[in-house]
Amino acid sequence: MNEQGRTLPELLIASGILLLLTAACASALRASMQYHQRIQEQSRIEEDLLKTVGSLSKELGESSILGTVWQATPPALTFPTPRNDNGTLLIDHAAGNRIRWQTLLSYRLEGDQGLLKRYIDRLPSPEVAPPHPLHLTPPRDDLYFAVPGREYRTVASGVTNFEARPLKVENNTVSKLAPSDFAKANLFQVFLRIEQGGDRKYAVSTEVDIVPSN
Amino acid sequence: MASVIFATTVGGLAASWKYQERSIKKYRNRNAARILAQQEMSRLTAHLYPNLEKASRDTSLILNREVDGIVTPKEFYCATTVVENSDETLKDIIIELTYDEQNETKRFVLQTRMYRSE
Repeated sequence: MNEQGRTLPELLIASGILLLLTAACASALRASMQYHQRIQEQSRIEEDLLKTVGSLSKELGESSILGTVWQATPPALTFPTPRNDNGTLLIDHAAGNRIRWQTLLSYRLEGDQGLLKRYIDRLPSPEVAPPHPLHLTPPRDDLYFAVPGREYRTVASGVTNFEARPLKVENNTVSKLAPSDFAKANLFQVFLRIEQGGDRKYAVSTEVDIVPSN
Repeated sequence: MASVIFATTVGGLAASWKYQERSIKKYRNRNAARILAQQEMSRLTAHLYPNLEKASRDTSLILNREVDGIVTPKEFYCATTVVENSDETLKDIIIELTYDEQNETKRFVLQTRMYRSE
């Protein structure tokens, strides 16, 4: 008697192979999704880094050495800008097109999550000379910016290093200055590093040279 | 038959993975170039019309990408050209960003025009 059909061992083997294939596909899919997610996160921090460095480069480039203050712990870079919140340059045409200083900006690295915050501090009235943040009343220091309600925007998170190094350029020679000689610098090198990830660490970093031109 | 289907599926998945990875790398470099060029343009156009030439510069930026402690630097070169017309009424600002990718040099150009009356 010739019986049609499959035996139990055959069915078990087929089911086993199917199970293995499904598991392999699921694992590949999960790995692919994790990879995609990681890449998205990497792209985001890369964009954060480039945008932060770009805005810092533009804003500090328009500022003045005389009003730029760097503090190593906690890292904070504070400087005046001749622009208001809308980005409009304040020019005194009556005084021969001289710029007026109306805002202070402070990039500060805060918290365990490495939040780099950009504080905006509007001055009561435009200043003729670039104001020094620590010579204002009250001084624009840690205590001042720690007061709740100060206006800020978080420009990057996961920041592990934020550093501004003073340099002196003389006769085409660049020399490093001690952090205490910040006021003698005519060029700043700003270094920024952002790190993300749990089991697999990913980081991006860059450094830019910035010359405060006013 | 089953082995052919399986091999085709796995091969397809692997090829798609590789293609996606390459596209992402390209996209990231292109995105970085776009951001850098836009920022340089924004920095330059913030200056007054007479100061544009003085403010223009050629610069480079090294972006260090780090995975599990292994650093891969990527260098972007940025060249700026400011050209004024013969009537001295407008200036063309051209920002050219170049970077190396897979043995060839990629170019990203951004151009705008600024009028004396602006």
